[in-house]
Amino acid sequence: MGSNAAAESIAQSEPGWDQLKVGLHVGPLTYEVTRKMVSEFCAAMPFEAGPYLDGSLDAAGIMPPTMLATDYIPLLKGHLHLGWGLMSRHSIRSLKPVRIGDTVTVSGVISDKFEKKGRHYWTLDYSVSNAAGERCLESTITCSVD
Amino acid sequence: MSGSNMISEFEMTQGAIDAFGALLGSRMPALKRKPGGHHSDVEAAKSVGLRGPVAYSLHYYGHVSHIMTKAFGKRWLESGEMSVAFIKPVCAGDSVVVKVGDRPVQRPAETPRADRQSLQVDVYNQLGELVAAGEASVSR
Repeated sequence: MGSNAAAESIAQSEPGWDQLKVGLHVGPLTYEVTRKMVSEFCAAMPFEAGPYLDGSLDAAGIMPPTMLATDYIPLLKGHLHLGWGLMSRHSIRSLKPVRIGDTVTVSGVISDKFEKKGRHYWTLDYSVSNAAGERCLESTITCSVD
Repeated sequence: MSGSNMISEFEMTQGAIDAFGALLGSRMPALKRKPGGHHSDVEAAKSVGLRGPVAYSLHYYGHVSHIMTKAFGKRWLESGEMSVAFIKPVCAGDSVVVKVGDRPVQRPAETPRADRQSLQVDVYNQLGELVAAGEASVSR
């Protein structure tokens, strides 16, 4: 079995859209936001890292608000086979800046699942909170699985 | 807030897609991406009806936030909101232009919020096709 087929086999062992339950809580993920993470994110985008690292917005440096938007992937790991579906919509609210050096907690809940034009969609509401328990970012993502 | 500051343009090369795709694995090594899949394998992408390896929507989405960060600074970080619908896939080899505030908000709320400054968000490919659109706003 080739590596891609093996990976697909493992992925398919995850629950499918049919098994997904609205109200499913996922997470938490907890980790420190580092300068290295921010630098790598800016380099990959690519856009200038200056505003985030030069202290102009906060002496400690800050995290670009969408840097953790892809955390829906680890949040859903083991809960849903994401398939090859495409993202339909993403919304984000930035409430407080996340500072470099902050320890953040990311968690979420499946808030909706629906079918539309023959495709199967899910919606996840997820948030990032700092170590003080203050909510910093709120996101909502809707994707199809097919 | 000048027009040129509210635009971001870049080439969505396969290298760019790969770099963005590697970010999650860099933060969480257990999630390091395995080769293949519709983000990097041409045949896998075409097998699901795509033109080629598809970019991550959150890649160019992040440029909207960057534009807003540069334009509004702390107001964006402490009161920013944005919502974007993804209309057409962006694939390896495409060029992406992200524009904020280039035209009036296309789908204004039935009850506009007087306490917020709202801007139209548009993302185009090299053919001038709208690939994503939405709205970004900050508190006044």
